[in-house]
Amino acid sequence: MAQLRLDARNSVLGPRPSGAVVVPGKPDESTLWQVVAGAGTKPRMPFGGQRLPDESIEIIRQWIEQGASWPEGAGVTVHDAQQHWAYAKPVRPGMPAVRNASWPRNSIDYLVLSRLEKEGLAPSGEAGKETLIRRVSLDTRGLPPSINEIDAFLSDVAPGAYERLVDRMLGAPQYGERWARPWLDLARYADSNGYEKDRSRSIWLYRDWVIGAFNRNMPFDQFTIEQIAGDLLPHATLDQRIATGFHRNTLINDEGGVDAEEFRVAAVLDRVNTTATIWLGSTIGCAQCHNHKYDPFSQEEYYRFFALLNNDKPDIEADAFNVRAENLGPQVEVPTPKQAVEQERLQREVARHTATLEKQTPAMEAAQELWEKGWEKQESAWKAIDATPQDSLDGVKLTALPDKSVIATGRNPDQATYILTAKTDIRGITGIRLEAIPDGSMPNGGSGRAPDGNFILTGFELEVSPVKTQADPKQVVLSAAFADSARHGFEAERVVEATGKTGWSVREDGPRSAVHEAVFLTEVPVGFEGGTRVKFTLKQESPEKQCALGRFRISVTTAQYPGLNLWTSPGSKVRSQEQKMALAKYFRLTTPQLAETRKLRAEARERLQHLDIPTSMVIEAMPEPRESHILIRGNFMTKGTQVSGGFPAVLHKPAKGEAQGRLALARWLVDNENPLVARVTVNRIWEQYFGRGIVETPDDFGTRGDRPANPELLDWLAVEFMEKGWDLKAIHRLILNSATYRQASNVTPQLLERDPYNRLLARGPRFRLEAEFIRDIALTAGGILNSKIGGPSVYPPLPEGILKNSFSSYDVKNLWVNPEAADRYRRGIYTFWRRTEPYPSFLTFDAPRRDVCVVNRSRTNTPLQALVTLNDPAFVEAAAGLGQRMMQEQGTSGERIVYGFRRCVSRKPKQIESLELENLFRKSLGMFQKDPEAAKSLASSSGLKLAANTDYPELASWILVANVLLNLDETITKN
Amino acid sequence: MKENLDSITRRHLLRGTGLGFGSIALSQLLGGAGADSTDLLAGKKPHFTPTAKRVIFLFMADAPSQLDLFEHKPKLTEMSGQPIPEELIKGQRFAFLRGVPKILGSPWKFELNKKSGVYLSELMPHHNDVLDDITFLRSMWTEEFNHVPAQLFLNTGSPRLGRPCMGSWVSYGLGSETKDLPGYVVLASGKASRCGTACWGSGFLPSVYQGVEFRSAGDPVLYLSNPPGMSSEVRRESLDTLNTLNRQSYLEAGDPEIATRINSFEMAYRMQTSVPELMDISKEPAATHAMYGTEPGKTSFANNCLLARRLVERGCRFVQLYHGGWDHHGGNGDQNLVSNLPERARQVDQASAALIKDLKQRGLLDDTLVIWGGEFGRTSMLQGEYSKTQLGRDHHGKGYTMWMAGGGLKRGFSLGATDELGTQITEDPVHIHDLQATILHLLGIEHTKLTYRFQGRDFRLTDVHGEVVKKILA
Repeated sequence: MAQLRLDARNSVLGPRPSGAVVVPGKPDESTLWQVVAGAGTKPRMPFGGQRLPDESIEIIRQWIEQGASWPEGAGVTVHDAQQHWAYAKPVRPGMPAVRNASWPRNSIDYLVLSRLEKEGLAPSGEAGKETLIRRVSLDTRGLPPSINEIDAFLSDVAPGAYERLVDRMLGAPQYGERWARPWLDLARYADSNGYEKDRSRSIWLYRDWVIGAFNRNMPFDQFTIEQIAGDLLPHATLDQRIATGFHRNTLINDEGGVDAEEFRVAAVLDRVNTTATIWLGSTIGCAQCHNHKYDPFSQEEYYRFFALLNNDKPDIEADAFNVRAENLGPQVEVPTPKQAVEQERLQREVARHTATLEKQTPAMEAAQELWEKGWEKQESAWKAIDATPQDSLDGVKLTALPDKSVIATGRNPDQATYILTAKTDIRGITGIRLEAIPDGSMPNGGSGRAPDGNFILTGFELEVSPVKTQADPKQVVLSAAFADSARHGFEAERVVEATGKTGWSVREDGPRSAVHEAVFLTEVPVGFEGGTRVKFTLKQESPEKQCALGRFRISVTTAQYPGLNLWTSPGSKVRSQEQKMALAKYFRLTTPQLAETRKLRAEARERLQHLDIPTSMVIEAMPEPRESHILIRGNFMTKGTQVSGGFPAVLHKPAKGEAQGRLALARWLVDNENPLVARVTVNRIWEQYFGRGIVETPDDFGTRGDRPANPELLDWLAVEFMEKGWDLKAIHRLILNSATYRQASNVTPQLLERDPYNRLLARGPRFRLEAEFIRDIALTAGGILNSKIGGPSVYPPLPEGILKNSFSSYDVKNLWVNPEAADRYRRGIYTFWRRTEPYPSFLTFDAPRRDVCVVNRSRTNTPLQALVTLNDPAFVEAAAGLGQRMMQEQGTSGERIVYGFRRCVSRKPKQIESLELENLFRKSLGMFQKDPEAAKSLASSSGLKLAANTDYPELASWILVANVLLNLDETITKN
Repeated sequence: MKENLDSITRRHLLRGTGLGFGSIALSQLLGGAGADSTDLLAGKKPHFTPTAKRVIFLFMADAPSQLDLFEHKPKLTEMSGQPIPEELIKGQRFAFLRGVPKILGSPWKFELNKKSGVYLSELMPHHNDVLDDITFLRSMWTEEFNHVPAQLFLNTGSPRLGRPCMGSWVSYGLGSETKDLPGYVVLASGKASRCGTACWGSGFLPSVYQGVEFRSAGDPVLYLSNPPGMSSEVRRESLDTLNTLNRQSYLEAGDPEIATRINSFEMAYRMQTSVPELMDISKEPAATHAMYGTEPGKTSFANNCLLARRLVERGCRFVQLYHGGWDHHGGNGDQNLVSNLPERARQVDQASAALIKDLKQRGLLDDTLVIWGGEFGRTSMLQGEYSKTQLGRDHHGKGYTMWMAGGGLKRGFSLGATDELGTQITEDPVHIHDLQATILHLLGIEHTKLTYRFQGRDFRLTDVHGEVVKKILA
């Protein structure tokens, strides 16, 4: 029984078990009036809320008295959800009898034909072989067939030629690329974070995982489980962890001052909605703010679903002032086999040197003893650095004082990062000293801003770059740190360890008025000839909060033994065991005897850093699940009742009662009891082939969605899919081999009027291809496609000025300049997907921005698209490639036109088409011969390698013909 | 053969079968059947008679300070330097301010325009000329307090990426009046947009409704120019061949999409002439340049204002100007209120006023709606330390100022107010969704009825909110 809905006629006026809500003409007997007026025995409504105004109650009374008139069709209609077709498990229908028994090739055809015969329609004849091979090739590989492939198919007259073609094409590695394309729209895959900064992210390994999974024909249930919960599988492989990148494709907002929790919740909500859309064809997202108006999902059920996905590590850990890092949140390193070998070798080398540096040998002890005796002769001269503090937007004000110390005033945030820059001519810097200087303006007259005048320094980093050249800044490796005073557990060494949690803090029992110092050793001497730019970063991110440095000074030294005074100062003669070990460590890290080892270790570490091992963003569970609540009106700040994980009651129960966590969710989604998942999946596949799904709303199988045009066909495919073990290629093969798919796509005005959208399938598919494939086709026809599969996303040229458009293009700006020729012509699926500035021609051809899950792209037809295929340099370069090939082809101009025509649309031109193109060639040749400079300009601007004796007017004319061929409606259409 | 060929080629053929390139939409000729994209931009009827037929939205991206431009607050000056009373900012979320910040009076003078009874900052002198034509909304508010979510909110009605923007909704609702130009055009100046093209994206609406950026450098519209060496004559020849071949396909396949495509190529060809002509402001009279402060060949807000007028004259429905760089948090760079705000104000003051005057003198103001404002305002409180040469204000969404003018609005009117310190709204709050509802209303659209189904839900610009601000309607 549906809940009471006051906006639904049948709910208000229809019979209900608890008595009529409204009895026309009789307000006193109507529950509605009783409860709003507080007249009956039932509690007054709105329950716990304010009483309605008297006028409103009176209006309700009058309306009932006057007969409760409510026209049919006004408001909504409540359906009994249990009766809705999509929530009942699909059952394999029997095969219907058909009159034209010779037409069907497989079960699909019986179901289609039976429907056509009921409508009094006949199927179209089979499409010609050239049309078929192009159609199959585009559907399986997203590329047109080569002329050799066409000729081979045309000459294969043996029975089963078509089926063999289908098998060949399904086995091609481009199959994975072609079918990854729609999946990446669903997965909202992109190479940047979105929002203001829109930094680049590294998650292309997920894209490659999708391509690989399709190519290996991974069963769809496994494909699902690995993406939703691959990390939780027993002994999860690296590949299975990469698969979880699926739900890391959500947006990240790291604009300054954002509330990290707000956007974390937004990402989880998106994961819920995306999961429901893809696997349930369900608009459960409507229940985010209130119970679903039309489908049987309550808000509580929504947040129980939410609770299943709410237990993973966030993108951004702390408050937004600390957001940095180009990649946020959990990620895995994925070395290539070669890198893995090199990485291991270097790690072993570092370990070997570290062991040498840490090993206390009798020889070392003796050397140290000798060294200690010579202390009088050693000294370290410190030179204070003239550091310029950078403005910080979090309200802290840093000011440099005449004694070269820096003082902090203004806001005292929970966590603070100070950045200072300086230039120095000093070379061979061996140590950096940080002095914490007490100041009367600080609490307790201390050197820090904590309530007791102390501080906790959690991080100290140096970046250096030469003043003379434009080299990128390099991080300086600090090998150790020592201080003259430290709280237990807050030794200076903790700063070098950079755990973020603890750091250097001075002893609380000492006098607040003393200057304390920490000395950091550089692993190798630092400083460039001609001067060095230095950037110091001081992090104060302790969970203790508000414990930044108040006043401090930075100095450097080139001494062999930086900060020797830490050991030689009075009072340090008697050492604890810890101090002795520290001194021994200090000695080994400074003595010239081990300088070579230290240098070798530094070099190995640097090489490790520059291995450029690819990373990929992944999902990682929190150690303990989060508490989940209903969010009132979907607002993350207004938490309602706490909820645990669970599944919508209208759907199937989880197997084994398993109802908590992502893995349970993943298994529940692809349970054979799930009435939706197989239908939704085959429907999306069908849509790729025929342009429209059997259900025309592939994202909504609910009561407000479209009903299937052929329910038996949908159910038959769904059951077949599950029973064949979720085998995707088997479904593809079935569709490709059907007579339904093989029909010609030509349409008569009568049929067009009868069935404009081809829902009855009395003809084959004909529709414009998607953005990436339009590019791929042009590059293929032009012979310039680079068919490399996988790898980092690429940067084909962009029109000038495009990147200046965007506030946040700083981190990719350089990458789009002068892309390597080889990567210039990769398939569209590899183009870097930048959310605030997607590749322009894709956007023009209806690619989504990939901010959210998109199930089907629109298919528009606009002048801006015409400008792309006419003038976009990528298409002009393709035309140049094709023009040059036509010119180089042996034979008459007519034969060359046939060759070019076939490269684009697979078939040979009709005579009238051929003549028209020849005519254009002749005319343009005349025009270009009159203006050879123009011809040269066209031919040489298009990336062609040209011989010295090139006939420019002729080449330009072929390029023009090629440009026309690439712009044919038929070229960008699946026919 | 020759004769046969001639008889069925080119425009003769197309004219003969009613597929000419005239202004009649092809969909009408074809009865609309079967096409996926049957002229999505064909003019559509509004829900009721509109008072505005087109919109020019001057989007001041990154949030100008209402307290230094439009809101005269003597009390703020008087209390400058004192801590803000805590109850005034209780429960508000700020991007950067924490604790109890100090009040900051405006460093600039406000003067009363005696004729209009309106105070204006000395930074906006030219606005004096148009005070009688515009309506101030002094009580705008938004929940968002970060730039991109707030800019998306104002443009799309949602703070998240993925929804269509206002211009797209309007194009979807009303179609386009021009066949030679896009119906929704974007012009940018100042600091670059923080959303990239997302602020003029069509979200889940078909991409035909997305804003087309007319750029002041390079091709004004992407890929408008023919490749090097290809003259307009050569292009025409090749298009004639292309059309003939596509026409041949149409005869075979019977797919109306092909007819639409032929039309698309013809419009693209027309745009190759009409867009450069439009963008060339050098032939405007000297008086016009003087009024706007335009300099042909430059990228400037002034040039874009003049282009906006030229666009609406030519039937463009929705023109959106972006002028970024109002993010005056403080510091010593271009976020310094003291040094940079006067510069930004100078960039827009004269041209904004000129646009109103120009539209008025051409009789266009009566049915053109001009909107001026940003995604939120700025705080009454100082961000950072006080210094005569370096000042800043944080983001403030609960009470800021925009203005509108033209088609269907009261003139010389002011709605709403904030308290003496400009921290909270005291009368007639106007939420972003209310503004959106009002803009659609002026265009003859009932905002609750302009919907599009996506992921099973009917979406609208105003989400489930929004009320038309009746008090400002003429």
